Amino acid sequence: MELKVLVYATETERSAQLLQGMIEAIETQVPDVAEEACRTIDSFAERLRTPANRPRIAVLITASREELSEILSIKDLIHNLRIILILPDRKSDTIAQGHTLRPRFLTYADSDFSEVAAVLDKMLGNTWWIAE
Amino acid sequence: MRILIVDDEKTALTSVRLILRRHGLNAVEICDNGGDAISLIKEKDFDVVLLDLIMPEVGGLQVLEATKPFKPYTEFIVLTAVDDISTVVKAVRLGAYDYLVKPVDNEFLFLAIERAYEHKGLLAGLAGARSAGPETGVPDAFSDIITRDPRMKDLLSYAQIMAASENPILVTGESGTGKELLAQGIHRASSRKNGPFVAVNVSSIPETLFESQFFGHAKGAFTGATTDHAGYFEQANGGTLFLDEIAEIPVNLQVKLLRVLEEKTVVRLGESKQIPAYVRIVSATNADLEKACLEGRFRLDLLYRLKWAHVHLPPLREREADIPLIASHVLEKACARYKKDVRGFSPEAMDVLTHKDFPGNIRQLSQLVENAVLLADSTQILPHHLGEESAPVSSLSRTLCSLKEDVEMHMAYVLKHTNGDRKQAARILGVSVRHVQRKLAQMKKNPRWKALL
Repeated sequence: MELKVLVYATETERSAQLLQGMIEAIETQVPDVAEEACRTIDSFAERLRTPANRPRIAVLITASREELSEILSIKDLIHNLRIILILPDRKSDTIAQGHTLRPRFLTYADSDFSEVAAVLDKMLGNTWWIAE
Repeated sequence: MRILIVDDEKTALTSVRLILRRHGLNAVEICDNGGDAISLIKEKDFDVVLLDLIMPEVGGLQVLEATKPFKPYTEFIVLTAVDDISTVVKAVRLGAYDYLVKPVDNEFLFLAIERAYEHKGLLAGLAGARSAGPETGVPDAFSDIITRDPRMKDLLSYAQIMAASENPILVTGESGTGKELLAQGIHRASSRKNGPFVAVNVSSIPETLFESQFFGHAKGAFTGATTDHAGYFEQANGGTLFLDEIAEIPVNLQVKLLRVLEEKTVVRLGESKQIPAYVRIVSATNADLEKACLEGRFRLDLLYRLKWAHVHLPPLREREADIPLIASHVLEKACARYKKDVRGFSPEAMDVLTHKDFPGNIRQLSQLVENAVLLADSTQILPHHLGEESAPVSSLSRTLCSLKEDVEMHMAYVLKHTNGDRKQAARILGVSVRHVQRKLAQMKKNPRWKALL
């Protein structure tokens, strides 16, 4: 199956919980989607540098400000992906940092991930120029 | 917009300030005498000054005379109790932009302020456009847009001018023409550049989430609203809200958006308190909004509200001369991003790019070049990296081109054959080595040949 969504979440306990919730929400609401998870920033960056089967959409889960900073450090690699970003908190400076990644949808770690799945469903229904 | 009202009548000061605030103009200061007004105007950067002409001690004309030379970008609207033409003429000669006769009709007041503010933006924009880098001719705020196309440069200068006002701007153009880059440039060129730039792709938001995402919600407003949430308007407060694919907004929600744009306040779902939304809207679409209005899919009043100024970006096929430039720029960025050592395009590969159709415009060109960089196993991008069959180049193959291009192509062909040996190339070409060197120096300025030479 063609890869459509790349999910990034680190190996920390909090991220693992969020990842679990995210995968469940996606698989319930968008069962046809093919997803792949990267658990370290290096493997994520490496995956984005691989030409074969490039993802169209990335779901980025950041469970802390540090994890968000790590994502920002590889901003150049994700510039042409459609991004769904999960922020660790609702502080205005965190949100402002999040917007610099130009996410298609931005939500928070304490949110209901069914919203993300609904957005993903809508995004996958659209047409793309990205890695068709 | 920062406004100063100068009038010796305190009731006039407070009532005009109140009227302006109700109209959404919150950054309003007042001053009740000419002496203090001179200091204030010189110290601060007001956009518009509403100045009463008749005041005791220091009158309005004196204020104008003492401040306008120091603040050429502050616009003055003089207020006079009597229709005294000679005083008004003096004020205009001293640099006043407009005059109003008291008692002032509110609509005329708003109109005069808006026009004065636009005029200020025009002057500031022209100054900014003049200060654009001499090499590119592109205003600094738009330096992410790579172009040498005269039409694009004119368009960017216009966007720079319009950016200085607070008014909404609609950007149209085919998919991939750089609408978001232009919106970012408008934000950088505006007085809100230090505020947030919030980009929202309207088509990604499911209809059920639209209101809570845009206007926010209070805890418990609906099932799943476990915390208070600030919507996009609040997140963009003091900055720019970029609404991409605006044509996709459902009709029933258009009226809600229109209300926010008119009232400049938002109300979170589950609350009744009005929250100020000091946001500049830049919207974009590749759809025909006029047609959508005729077909009842888009509200005409919303279109007018969003299209205070309009910028249409041309497709890449109408600026073909930019293709080598953009391709070289993307290549350089991609090499840094993917840690590759690819120095340029072979002439054949550049020919492929310049003769290819790009219905997806710059985005498609960028993706093609990025993929080529990833695939490249040499220091040059070759046609097969661009997904083209590699055909042997026939020495007799011709293309329709100018004599200058033909000479350059032949020069490149010979140099390739001699592996860059200029003496040998000069012998084959029947010209001096100096002639070859001179020609090469010219050709190196062209991204098409840069990699080869």
